[in-house]
Amino acid sequence: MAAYCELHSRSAFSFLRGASTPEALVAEAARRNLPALAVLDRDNLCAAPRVYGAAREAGLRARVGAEVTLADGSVLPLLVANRTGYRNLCRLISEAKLTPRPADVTVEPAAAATGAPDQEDSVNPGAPKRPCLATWEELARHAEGLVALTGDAEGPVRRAWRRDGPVAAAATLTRLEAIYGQDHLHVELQRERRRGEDRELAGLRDLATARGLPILATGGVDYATPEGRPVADVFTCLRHHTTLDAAGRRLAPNAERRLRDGAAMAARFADLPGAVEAAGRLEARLDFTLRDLGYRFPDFPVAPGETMPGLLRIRTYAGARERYGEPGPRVRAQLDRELALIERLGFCGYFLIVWDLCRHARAEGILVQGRGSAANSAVCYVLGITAVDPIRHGLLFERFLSEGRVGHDGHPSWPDIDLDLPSGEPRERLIRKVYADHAPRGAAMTANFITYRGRGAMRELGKVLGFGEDLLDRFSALQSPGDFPDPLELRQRLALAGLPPDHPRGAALASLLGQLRGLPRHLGQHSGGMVVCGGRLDEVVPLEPATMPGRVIVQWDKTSCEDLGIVKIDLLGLGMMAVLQETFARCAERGDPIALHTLPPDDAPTYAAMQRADTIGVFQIESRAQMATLPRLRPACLYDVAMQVAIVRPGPIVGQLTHPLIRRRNGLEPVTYLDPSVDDIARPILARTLGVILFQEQMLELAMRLAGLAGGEAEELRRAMGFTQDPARLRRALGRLGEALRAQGRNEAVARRLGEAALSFAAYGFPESHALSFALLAYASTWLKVHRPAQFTASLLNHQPMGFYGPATLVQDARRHGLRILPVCVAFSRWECTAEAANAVRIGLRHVRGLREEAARALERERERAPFASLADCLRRIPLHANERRALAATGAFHALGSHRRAALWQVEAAWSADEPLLRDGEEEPDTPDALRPMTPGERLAADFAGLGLTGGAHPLARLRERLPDVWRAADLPLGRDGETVRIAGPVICRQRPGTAKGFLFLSLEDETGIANAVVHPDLFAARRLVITQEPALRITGRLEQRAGVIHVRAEQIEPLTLPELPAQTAHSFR
Amino acid sequence: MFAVLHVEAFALQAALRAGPPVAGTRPASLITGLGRQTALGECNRAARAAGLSAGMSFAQALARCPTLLLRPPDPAGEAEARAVLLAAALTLSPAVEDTATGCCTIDLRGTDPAGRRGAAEAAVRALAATDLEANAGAARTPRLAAYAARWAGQNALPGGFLAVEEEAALLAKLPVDYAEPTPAQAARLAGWGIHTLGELTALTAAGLTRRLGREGRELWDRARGGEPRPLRRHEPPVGFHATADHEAGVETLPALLPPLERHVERLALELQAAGLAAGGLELELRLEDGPAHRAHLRLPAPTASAAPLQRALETHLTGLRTAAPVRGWSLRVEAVRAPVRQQDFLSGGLRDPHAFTETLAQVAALVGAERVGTPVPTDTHRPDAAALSPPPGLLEEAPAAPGGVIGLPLRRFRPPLPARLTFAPTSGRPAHVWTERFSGPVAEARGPWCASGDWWEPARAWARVEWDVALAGGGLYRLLGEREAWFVEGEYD
Repeated sequence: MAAYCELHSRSAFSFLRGASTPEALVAEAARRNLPALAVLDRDNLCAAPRVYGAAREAGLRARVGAEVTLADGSVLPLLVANRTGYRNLCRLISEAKLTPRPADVTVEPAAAATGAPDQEDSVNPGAPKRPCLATWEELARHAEGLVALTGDAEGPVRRAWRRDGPVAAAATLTRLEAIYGQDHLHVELQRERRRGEDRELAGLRDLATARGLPILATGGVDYATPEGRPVADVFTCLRHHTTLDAAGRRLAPNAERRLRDGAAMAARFADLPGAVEAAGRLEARLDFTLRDLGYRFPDFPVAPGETMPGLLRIRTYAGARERYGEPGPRVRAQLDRELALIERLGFCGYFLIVWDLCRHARAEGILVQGRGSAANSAVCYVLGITAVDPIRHGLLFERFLSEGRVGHDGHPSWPDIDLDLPSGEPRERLIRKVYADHAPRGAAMTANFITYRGRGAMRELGKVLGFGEDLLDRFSALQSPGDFPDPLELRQRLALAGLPPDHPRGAALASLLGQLRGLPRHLGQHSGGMVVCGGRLDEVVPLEPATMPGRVIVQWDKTSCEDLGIVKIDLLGLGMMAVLQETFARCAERGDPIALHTLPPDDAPTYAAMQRADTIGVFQIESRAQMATLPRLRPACLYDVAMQVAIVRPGPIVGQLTHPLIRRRNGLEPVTYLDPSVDDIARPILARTLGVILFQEQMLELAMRLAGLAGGEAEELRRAMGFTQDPARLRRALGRLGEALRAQGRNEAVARRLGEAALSFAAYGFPESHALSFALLAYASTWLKVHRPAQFTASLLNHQPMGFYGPATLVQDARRHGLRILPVCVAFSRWECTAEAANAVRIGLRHVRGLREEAARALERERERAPFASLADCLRRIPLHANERRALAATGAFHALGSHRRAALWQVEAAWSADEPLLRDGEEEPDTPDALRPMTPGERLAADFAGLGLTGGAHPLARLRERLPDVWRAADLPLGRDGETVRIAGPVICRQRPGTAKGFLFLSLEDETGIANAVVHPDLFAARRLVITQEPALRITGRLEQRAGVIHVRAEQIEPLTLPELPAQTAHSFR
Repeated sequence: MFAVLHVEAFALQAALRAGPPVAGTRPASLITGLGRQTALGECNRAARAAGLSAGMSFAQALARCPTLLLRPPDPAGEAEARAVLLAAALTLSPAVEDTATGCCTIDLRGTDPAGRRGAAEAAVRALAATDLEANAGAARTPRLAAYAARWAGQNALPGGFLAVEEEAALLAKLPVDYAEPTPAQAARLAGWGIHTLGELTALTAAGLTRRLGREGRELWDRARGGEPRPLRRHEPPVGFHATADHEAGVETLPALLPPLERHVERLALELQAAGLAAGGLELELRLEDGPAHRAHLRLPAPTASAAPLQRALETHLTGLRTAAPVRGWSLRVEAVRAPVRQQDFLSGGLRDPHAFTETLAQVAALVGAERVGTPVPTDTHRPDAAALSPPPGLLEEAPAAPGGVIGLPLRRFRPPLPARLTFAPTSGRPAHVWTERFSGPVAEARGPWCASGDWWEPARAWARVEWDVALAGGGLYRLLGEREAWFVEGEYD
C-alpha cells in the first residue's frame, strides 16, 4: 500500500491565504514522514523552487501543481503529472494572468470555505489585484499532463453543490470529466472537523461512486502546524478589509487545516480508507520535478556557414586587438583557454548575446560596464562587457566559469553577468531591446517577493487586531530607524506608544508580529534582473504582468532562477554611471575627450584625495564609514580601492576583519594565514589581503582546498551564503563545511575561523571581481572630482538624488575646492547644471522648485533666438505658470534682467498673462514701490534654500557663526587634543545606525568649513532619540577622538540647534 | 467707540480649562488633523517659547519639549468658553457682537467714558477667574479695537488693555498677519518683505489690487484699521442653564465638581450681566443606566456670585450616591431679582433617586452591569454565543430570530452535566460515559467536531470539542469537551 502523501497544501505564496513558508511546510512534512508533498499555491508557482530545494534537502519528493482560479470564481487544484503537464500549467497560468479580463468573481471564497451559506452571494472583497481568471476553454486546451482534483469548498463541484444542489454538482463534475477524463480527475474529500460536513462528503462519495471516479483524501493545508492558524485568520481579515472582531464566520472555525501524517489521515478517514490510499497511488503516477524544467538559453543568430563558437572567437580577437594591440602569447593563451571552456560548456550564445547588448548600448551612447564575477574573464574584458583587465590584475577565470560549478541537483551554475548602466531612460531603452529581441514570450523580468516587515507589518496587524490609528501612528513614529534592532523590546515600544503593558491583545500582537515577519506579501519586480529563454519562457515558468505597463515578470525571484539554472542578466541602473557618462560628454564638448578606459591609471593626486577622505560625491567611498576608513587604509592602487570598497561591508565587520587588515597594512600586527597548520594552503589564497579573508572567492577557495569540497558542494555553500530567506540552508551548509574540514584533519581553530567567515559573508559576500569593478568606478569618479571638478560637479548635481549627500552639501564641498558656484539665471542657466569654466558651475534651472522642464526648455530656446531685453520681455515670451514666475523671481533668476528679487517678485505678480490686455498694450509697471527693500543676505539665503534647496553662496552657518562662540568649526577639530571636550553644531546631513555597529549611531553635522562626525552611544540615543531623529540641526558636546587622522566627537550631550535663520536641509538618514 | 475682548489661542484655552487643572506655565498645544496628518495646532506662550509652532509634528515637538501637554479640540469646551466670553462682554454693554472665535466686539456708545478702562479691566479679570486669559482693546473702529486687544496680549500690557490713541503709530508696528491675509496673500507679502501693517499700507492700493485682486484691496483696507460699522448684536441666552455630556461615565461624584464649577462661573457672569441673581438650582444627573437623577437645590439667599452656587453643588454632590456612573448633567438657574423668600430651614438637601433607577441599579449590582440587557446572537463559530444589548424601545422592531438549525432537537442540560469519559485506545472515540444521572457504554459515536476562536484575547479565547454518542442502553447525547473537562451538553430527542 502506497504511503499517504499530502497533495493539496498552500504556502504563504498563496498570498493572504497560506500561513507557512515553503520551507516550514517541507520541514513539517519530513517530520511527519510524508514521502511527498505537493504545494498548490493560488494561481502561481512562486514557491515551487523553494519547495523543490527544501524537499531535496529533506529527502522527500516535491510534486508540482497550483490552484487555478476560474472565471466563475471557483478554484481548481491541478497537479502536474509529467513535463507536458508542467508546460501546460505554466502556459495556462500565464495566459490567464496576461489576458485582461474583468474580475467578475462573485463568490466570497472565505465564506464559502467556512460553509456560511448566507454569505455566498456577496461580492468578493478579496479578489486579487491581478486576477488569474482561466476559462473552461483554456482548461481544456491545457489539460494534457495535468491531474485535476475537485477541490475544497471553493472547488467548482462543491461550490455548485452548495449553490444549486447535487444535480448542479453532478453537471460540473461531468464538465471536468470531459476535460480531464476518468484517469486524471479525482473527487477530493477533506475533513475539517466541522459539524455538518459529513453530509456533503457523503454526497461527493456517492457522486464519485456513480461516475466510477476515484476519491482522494487531502488535508487542504493552509499552515504546517496549528500555530499557523492565527496568521491565517489575520490574512483572512486583511483579504476582507476587516478586523478579527468583525470577521465573524469568515474566520476559520478551528485549526484543522494543518499537515498530518498517514496514520492521522487514516484515522480521520477510517470510513473511507480508499481515499487515503489513493493519495499515495496518485503521487506514484506523478512523474515530474523541477529537475526536468527544460530550460534552454537562446542561441545567438549567426550568418549561414558561421557558428556561434566561430563568431565568438572572431569577436574576441577583434576586441583583444582593440584592448591590447596585437595580443601577446600570455593574452592569447588566456583567451584560448577561456574560449575552449566556454565552447565546451555551451555558453557561446550567452556571451554573444551579452556582447551584442553592450555593443548596442555603446552604439546608443549608453555607458555600460559589467560587474560581478564576469570581471574575472579576459573574454568579457576584450568583448567590452567589463572594464577591468583581469590579466593585469591577476584575477582567476575559474572563479567566473568552471566545469565544476554545478548545483546539488545537477543544474548548471551559469556564469553571472551584471551590467551597470546609467539609471533612468537609457536603462529602460536597453530593457525594451531585450524584450523586443525575445518577443513575444521569451524574456521577462525576475520577480521580487515583497515581505512583511517592520512598520508595515505592525500597521496591518494593528488594524486587524483593532488598535486605533493614533496608536499605530505613535508606534511608527517611535520605531527606531536604521538597520540595528531597536534597543527597546517590542512591548516597551508599545507601552511608549500608549498601549498599556497588560493590554489583553498585546501578547497576540507581539506573537503575530514575529510570525508574520518575513512572509511574502505580494509579488514585485526585481530592479534589473532579466531572464531570457530559447523558446517559450512561459513553458518554463508562469509569467504575469508587472505593475509597470508593458512589463512582464516571471513568478520566480533571482535566487530561484539561479537555483534552477535559469540565466539572468542584471541590467542595473547606477546613478554614478549616468554621472560619468554626462561628465565625459561635458568634457568632450569642451574638446577634452576622455572615457572610462582611457583615464590615466595610478594617478597620484587621485589616491591622495582618497587617502585624506576627500571623497564627497564619488562612488562607493563617500559614506561616513568609508571616509572613516580611508585615512587608515590609505589606498594607493586599484586593488587597494577594491579592498576599501569591500572592507566597509556588514559581512567583514561582523567577522571582525576590518581592524586586522588595516593593522596589518600599517605594520601593527603580524601577517598570518588563518592558522599555522594550513599556512601553505591559505598563504597563496590570502596573500593579497595580508591573510585576511576579504572576498567571497577567497572564502570558497579556502573551503575547497581545506575541506576538500567538490565544485557542487562549494557552489551550494555559495548559494546558501546568498540566500537569506532560509537561514537553515546556511546552517546546513556550514555544518557540512565543518564536517568536511574535520574529515580532512583540520583543527578546530581552522573550522571555527572559516565558519565565522562564512557566516559573516552570508548575504553580504563581496566578490573580488565585483569589488574591482566598483573600484574602477570609484577611481574614475575620484579622478574626475580631482581633475575635472566643474564638469563632475555639474553632472553630479544633475542626477540628484543619488549617493550619500544632498545638493546643498555637494555645492558647499565644491566651493571648498575652489569652484565658483554661479547662481541660477534666466539669461545663462540651462535646465541642467553646466560647467561654464574649468572652475565654475552654473546652477541649472532644474533645481528651481516647481519649474517644469518644458518651460525651462522653452526659455532656453527663446533666449537663443534673442536675448531677453527686460523682465517684462522675458515674461511676455515665455509661457510660465504663476508659481514658476514666483519661483524664478524668489531665487534671483531674473537678477540679470535688472531687478532685485523683491522687485521681480512685485513685477511678476502683476497680471502678466498672455490674454492680459495690459500686457499686449505694452504697459509696464511703474517703479517698484519704496516699501520693497532688496532682500538682506540672510533673506536671500533663506529664499535660496526654499526655492533651490541649496545656496551657491556661503554656508548658512558662516553668517551665524558669531552667535555660536563656544562651538568648534569642523575644520578646526584637528587642532584639538584627543579627549578634549568640544562642541560642534550644524544641520544634520547624515544619521546612520548600521546593523553592525552594536546600536551606536553616527551623526554628521555640516558647517561652513566641512563635516564634523559624532558617535552616539546607544544609551544616549535611547534617551535623546526624538531630538536626534527629529531636529534638523543639532548642537553636540562631547569628547574629541583622533585616531590615525580620523576625527570623531563622542557625544555626551545633544541639544537642538534652534536658530530661525538656519534653513532646514535634507539629510541622508537611516538609509 | 468700540471695545474688543480677545482670547488668544482660544480653542486651546477652552480645551485646557475643560480638563484637569494645568499650571499656566506648562507648554501646551492643541492637536489638529487626523491619522497621519496630525500635527500641532494652537500653542500657548510657554510652548512657543520652547520653540514650538503650529504645524510641527508631534515627534519634533516632543523632541524640543518633552513636557508638552497635548489636548484634542473640545467643541463642548469651546462652546462653554464662548458663552463665558459673551457673558463677560455683556457686563460692558448690552450691544455685543460674537465677532469671531475668541473675539467679542462691544459697542461702547452710551457708556461712561471715564469708566470704560475700569470696566474692561474688570471683564478681563472676571475671565481670568474662569481660566480664560483675555485682553481688551478700545478704538475708533471694531477692527482697530481688535488689533489693540491682540497687541495688548502679545506685549503683556498692564491690565491687559490698550486704548488706541495714535492709530498710525500703532499700525506701523503691528504684524501683517493682524489683517488676516489668506495663506496665498501671506506668501506674496512675505516675498515682498512686507512684515507690518505700516509697510502694507505704504504700498499703493492700486498696485496691490492689480496683484491680489479685489481681495487685495480688502486686505489693504483692513490693514488701515477698517471703518466703524453696526454690530450684529448677540442676543443674550434666554434662561440660565448649562449642560454637559461625559464620553466616559463619571464614577465618583466629586469628579463632577470641576466641570460644574466652570459652568457656574459662566452662569454667574450671565446673571451679573442681566442684573439678576440665582434663587435656586435645578440639577439633573443623567446616569448610564436608568433615568436621570434630579434635584432642586435651594439657596440660603439669592446670589450672583459663583462661589455660593459652587458650594451648594459641592454639598449636594458630596452627600449623594448614584447607582450608576454619570453620563451627563444639566444645571438650570432659577433667576430672581432680589431675595424673594425667606430661607426654608426644613428643606432637605437630598432627595431619593428615582425608584426605577434604584431598582435597576440594584439588579445591576447583584448580577453585574454587564449582565443587564437583551441577549442577541453574535456572528461567530461558537455555538450559542450571544451578547447583551440594551432592550429595544417600544416602537423599535424586534431583532430577527436567528436562522434555523438543521438537525435533531437538542434538550439542553443547564448547566451541562459533568461527565467522565473513556476512549477506545485504537480509534480514540468515546467508549464509555459516566454522569451522575446516567452512564453506559457508547454504541456509536460521531465526531469529533472542533471549534475555537477569539484566540487574540486570552480572557475571551475559547475552544470546544463535541461528540454525538448513542449509548448502548439507549439515549442520544451531545458530549462537550472544554478546558480539559467533559460534559454532557444535552440529549437529542
